[in-house]
Amino acid sequence: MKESIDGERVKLMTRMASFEANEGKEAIRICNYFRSDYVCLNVVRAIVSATLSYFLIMALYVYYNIDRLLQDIYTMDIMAMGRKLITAYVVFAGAFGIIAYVVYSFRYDWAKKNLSDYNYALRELLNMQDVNNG
Amino acid sequence: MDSIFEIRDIIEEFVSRYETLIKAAIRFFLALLALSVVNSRLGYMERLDSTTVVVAVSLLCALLPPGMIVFFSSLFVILHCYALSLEAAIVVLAVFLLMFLLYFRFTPQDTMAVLLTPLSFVFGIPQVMPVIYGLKGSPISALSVGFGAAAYFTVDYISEAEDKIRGMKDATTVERFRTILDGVIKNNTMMAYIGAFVITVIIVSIIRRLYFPHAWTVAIAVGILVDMTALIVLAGKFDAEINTGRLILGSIIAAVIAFVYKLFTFSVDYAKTERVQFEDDGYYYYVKAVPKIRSKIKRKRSREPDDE
Repeated sequence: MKESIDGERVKLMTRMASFEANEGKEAIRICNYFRSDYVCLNVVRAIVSATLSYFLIMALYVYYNIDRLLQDIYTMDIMAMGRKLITAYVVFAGAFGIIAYVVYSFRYDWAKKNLSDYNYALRELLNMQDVNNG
Repeated sequence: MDSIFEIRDIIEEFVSRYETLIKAAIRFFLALLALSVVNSRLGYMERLDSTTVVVAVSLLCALLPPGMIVFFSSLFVILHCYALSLEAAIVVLAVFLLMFLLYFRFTPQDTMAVLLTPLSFVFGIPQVMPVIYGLKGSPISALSVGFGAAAYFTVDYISEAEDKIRGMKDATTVERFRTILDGVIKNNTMMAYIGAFVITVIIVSIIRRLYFPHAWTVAIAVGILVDMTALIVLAGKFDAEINTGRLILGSIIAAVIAFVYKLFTFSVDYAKTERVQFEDDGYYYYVKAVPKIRSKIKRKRSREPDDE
């Protein structure tokens, strides 16, 4: 004989399916990583983004001031200029890395919390099935 | 008031019934509008400035995620600028790249602000953006709206300075580049708008989260007033040109739009209607889950048969 539809189970499965289709997609993807791996990977990506942005800004600055720079190239202290540029880069990329660390740590914690709620619902569903199967 | 809720319920039911089609249609019309505005403002590349191309790309955007509208609009802007001058294309490309690398890569859900903010400027109601993003987002959304304003003023400058750029044929590449970059960065009106938008988004977002009656309504009213005041003060500080008449009219329309937005999102979020599929050992399930909140009238009507 065919079993009838259990309303409570459908509600639970609907909520779970909805979670999987929406915010759960991101949460499941994030929780595939260990916390340290996820945060490190994104900090590295942020630093790469910051590096590209820094070089882009520098390229614009150099091109904008090309006449003055070419004029002063023989008189300027190249070493001091180099130190300044490297310090600026370290501060810029470092600040970006720290922001990324905070943001992605927060995102991982959010995903972990969401997924633990989902796992709880999953256990509840298995219990329902066990009860139905006797 | 109940009739407004009734209209809202009818719209909500209609939207949830044809959700997929309506979303595709919205993406299509949004892309059509954005690309048409880009073509009308810039339109230097003849191949892109054609209805066939715009409609074809809009149809493609209807099938793709919403972020692709931003991508294609940006691509159109860069190509038009390239047709005008290589230096303009380099400056615009650099501005867009910096926006993406420094911010939108981390908040892809806010990318639409780069498209919607310039469109709100075109329609003369830029005040609506900081209020809506303050309601729907967080204080961080201030950056999204700020970048959107920067995108608008970048394109606006290129459009306004067309004759000037074309007239610089004898100038060197560096001189042209310097003129365009100066025009884009040293724009006092842009600074005034960005400052006002950032302040407004933060204030609206904070008020909206407070626990007191009518927090959303107060947030909208305060947001509109703060935006107007901040804009007038900053315009004075930066010595920027602001049309006060248009500002007041734009603020009134923005307030109306913000209240309509509140009606649809705060009371009922039709977007929360879900269609899910799953299966167990015995069945395949195709479920449509609709939020339970309904207008007073509807609840009253649904109770009437029982009462009689």
